Amino acid sequence: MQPLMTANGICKYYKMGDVIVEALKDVSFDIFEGEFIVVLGPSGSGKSTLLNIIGGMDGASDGELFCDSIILHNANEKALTEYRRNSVGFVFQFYNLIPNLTAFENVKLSADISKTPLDSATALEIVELSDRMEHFPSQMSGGQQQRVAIARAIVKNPKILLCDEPTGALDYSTGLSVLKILKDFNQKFNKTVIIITHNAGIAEIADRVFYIKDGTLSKIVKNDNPLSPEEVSW
Amino acid sequence: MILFKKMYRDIRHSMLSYIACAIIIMIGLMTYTSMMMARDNLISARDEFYTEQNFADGYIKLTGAPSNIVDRVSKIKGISHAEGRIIKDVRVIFENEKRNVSLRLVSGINDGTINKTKILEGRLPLQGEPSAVIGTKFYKARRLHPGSVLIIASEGRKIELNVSGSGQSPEFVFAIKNNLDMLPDPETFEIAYVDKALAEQITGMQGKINDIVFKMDGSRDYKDIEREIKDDLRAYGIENVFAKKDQPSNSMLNEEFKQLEKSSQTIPVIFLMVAAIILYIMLKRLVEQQRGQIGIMKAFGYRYSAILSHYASYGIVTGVLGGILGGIAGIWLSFVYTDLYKVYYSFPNLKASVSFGYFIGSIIVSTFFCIIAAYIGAKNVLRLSPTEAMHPPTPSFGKKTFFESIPGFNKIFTLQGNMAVRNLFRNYKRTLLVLLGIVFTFALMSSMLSISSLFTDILMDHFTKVQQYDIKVVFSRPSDSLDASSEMKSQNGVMKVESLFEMPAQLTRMNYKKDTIIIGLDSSSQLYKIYDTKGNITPVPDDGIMLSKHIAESLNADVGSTIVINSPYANDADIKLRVSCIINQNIGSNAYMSKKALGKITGSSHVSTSLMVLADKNAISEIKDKYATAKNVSLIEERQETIDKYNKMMATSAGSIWIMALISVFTVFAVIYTSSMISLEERRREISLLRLIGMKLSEVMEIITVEQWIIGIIGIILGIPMGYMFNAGIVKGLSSDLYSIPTQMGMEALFQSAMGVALAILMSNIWLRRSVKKINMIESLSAGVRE
Repeated sequence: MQPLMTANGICKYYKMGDVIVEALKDVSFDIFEGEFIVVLGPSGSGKSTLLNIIGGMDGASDGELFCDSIILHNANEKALTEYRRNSVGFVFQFYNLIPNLTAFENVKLSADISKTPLDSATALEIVELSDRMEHFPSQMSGGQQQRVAIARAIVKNPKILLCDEPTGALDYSTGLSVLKILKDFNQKFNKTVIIITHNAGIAEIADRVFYIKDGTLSKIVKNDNPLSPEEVSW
Repeated sequence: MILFKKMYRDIRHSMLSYIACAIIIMIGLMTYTSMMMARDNLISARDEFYTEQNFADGYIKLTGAPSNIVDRVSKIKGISHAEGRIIKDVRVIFENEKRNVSLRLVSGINDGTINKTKILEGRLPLQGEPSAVIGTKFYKARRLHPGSVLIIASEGRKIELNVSGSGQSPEFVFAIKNNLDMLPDPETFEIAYVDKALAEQITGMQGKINDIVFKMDGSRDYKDIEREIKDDLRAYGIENVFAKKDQPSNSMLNEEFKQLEKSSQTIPVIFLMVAAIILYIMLKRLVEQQRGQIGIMKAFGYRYSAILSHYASYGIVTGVLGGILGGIAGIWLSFVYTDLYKVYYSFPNLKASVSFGYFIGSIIVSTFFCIIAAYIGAKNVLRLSPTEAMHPPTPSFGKKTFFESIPGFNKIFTLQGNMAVRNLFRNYKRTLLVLLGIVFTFALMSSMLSISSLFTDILMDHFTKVQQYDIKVVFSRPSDSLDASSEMKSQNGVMKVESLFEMPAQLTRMNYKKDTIIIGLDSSSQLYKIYDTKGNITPVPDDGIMLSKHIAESLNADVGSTIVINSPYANDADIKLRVSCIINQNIGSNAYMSKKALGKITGSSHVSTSLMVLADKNAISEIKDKYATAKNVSLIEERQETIDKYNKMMATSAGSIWIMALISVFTVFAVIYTSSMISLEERRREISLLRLIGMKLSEVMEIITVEQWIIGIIGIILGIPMGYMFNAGIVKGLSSDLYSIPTQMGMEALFQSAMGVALAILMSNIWLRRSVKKINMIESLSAGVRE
């Protein structure tokens, strides 16, 4: 089976004054279509840097990265924009919704620029927010806002859904409902979902868990019997 | 000191916006200080020169009277001294010169004590010597020197006139031939100051005078003296009596002072206001952004006044910088202005001097404006308690705008467009201020461009639609038009000839009085067309009098009103006439009658003062050559020559108008750029997200640019009536006997100003695009502030 994404020896260096900080060191992996992956690591381990590189927000300093047939490691800004536009969807810890757009408009904004989008209303239906379409972010709870953010990400029908601490700002039950939506999306649409978190409890729902420590991918653990979100606790 | 460092670093962070603000202040104050200093230089030169040369208090223009009439004038109570003079225009003949060149002979150079001529080069003419002191501008333009010889034509003779030197009288500081010449043209007109005996010889007016100047002793009001002069000298053919304030050169100078004062009081205020708007927007945003820091300072125990002073210091730095730059630039520009005035006003003692009062004043005014703007921008956040200030502000409540409830409104814009509309409403106070800045700047730009273009239009209309003749032959005294016309008609190439009678008169209605020239035309005149206020050609009726709109307003007269006329050419005094029509006259301001009706007043309908001639091109120069030395011809005016002169004049003023327009474009740019930069800072996170989800730079820019275009277009729309108001104000101020500009906005000016705003928006887009490109998505999005 051909991997959807392949990383070979990815490194990322930051220059801070005279000091060079190595945020990622020789990271290699394959990710397959329809996988549910959790990237687990403590704060400062380099997991967000990895997400930035996988998501085409940042480039690697060294190594190779491919997604489908797209070469990401030496892509220019234009190619990265195209990649973000058509291949990935993002979900953030703090939702990052546009405050002066309604839930529907936030989703449609994303759908409008995609090649093969889902219907915006359908995306909101998937996240069970059909009744909040005309609400502005400030009129919704945190969980509702996060669900809009998920709808905004999945409406593009991306190959990969990247989620950075999607439950980090939510209480347990709301976080659980968000995980359920992500898992459903993964299973129903056979889409790859990558969750970045420091919450070890969430790792149990993943097909594979990538452990990041001090900028290195210390181990990859395959989960033969992933649990459903309802079965995990943190 | 620490807070000073903080302020310095903050300003450095948004350097371009603060510099733009300081430059706008500089422009405003530069305009103010330069105009006021130039005005002061002119006033000081005028006062000194008028006093030194004993400038006359009153003037009497006569058709011709015995010299001893001066004694009668001197004896009038309230007059301390009077002097009689001969004043007459003579043509100067230069080889290969196609233009009409003339000198105004003014007698009394040797013995006159009123309006004395200051000798600037050479010497006074000796008694009996056929020499003249020539006005300094003509003297320089024609490269004359003591001993040069000019050939003049008068009374059908060519006379050699020696040049003894150059000089200047206070009476001809602004030397123009007649009211139609708006600016002096030193190569074609100046004054020749001669001895009385020589003037008599040249003009054939032995023992006569046609002009009296007098000084008053202050014991009596001018109006009473004028009334007595008119009563006493009625039999001698008084053309006009006027006070010092109405003396043409002095009146032009006073008009200039009025314009300078008006401009210096309005233009700088607009620029200072726009600068204050920018500073207010910037500081309000800065204070909001530094809310947490303010909370910490308060928690540490900083007093309200200390924090307020800190934020006021941003205004002080900008204000002082703008004030100093404005003061320095103003001093420099005042030198340029004064040099420019030297071209038009012949004050021998006019020099540019620096007034530190205005310099210091500029700094105080700009600092005051900026402190007020800073205070208003900062006060609300500063009033918060430390805990409130340290908390992030309550998230703005997103809501649909009123316009979105209008069916179909949402379909006008894309989703990005709708975002732009909501952003405008999200910070509506800022939007309104930016709008205000654009409205005022657009209005200023459009009104200036409009007046400039309307001025050109009315000049061209006058010389193409009103005056349809090629040449005007002006007689030295009223002559029989039948003989003159038939002689002119016999010339080769002459297609049409009509005569014209220009009669000086005083028009009176109740307490309103107006001195003017009544123009007598053939009822069916083809070479001089008159237009009513609706723009339709209207023939001169055989009874009654037509008044220009300006004169009608001066007399508070309307169609049907009765006007009383007094003229030295009229057989009777106090002739009553009915106003038959109010007409539109943009250049000059006259009353019009048919020659037939005028004949009833003067006793002959065949008398004329000039001939209007329509001729082919080749015939024009032949006629000019033939009549150059004719006894009864004082002047030949050629239409094309006048048009060329005006075009040259308009080209000179067009430069300064365009500089002002460019300054306005920069101002609109500064307002739009500053507000957009602030908006960009506020929405950095939002923009990063849009870039993250894959929006191209151009798609993100669409949101920002739609905002700018919406605000720009609304600014232009609202700027039109504001521009109209500015225009009406300026036109009212400019309206005089010389010209009246219609109170309408030229479409071309509106279009050019709209293009100016568009250019400013495009420039701002280019700068903003660079800033958007530089936004670091990861940094902006990882700032965990919950919207």
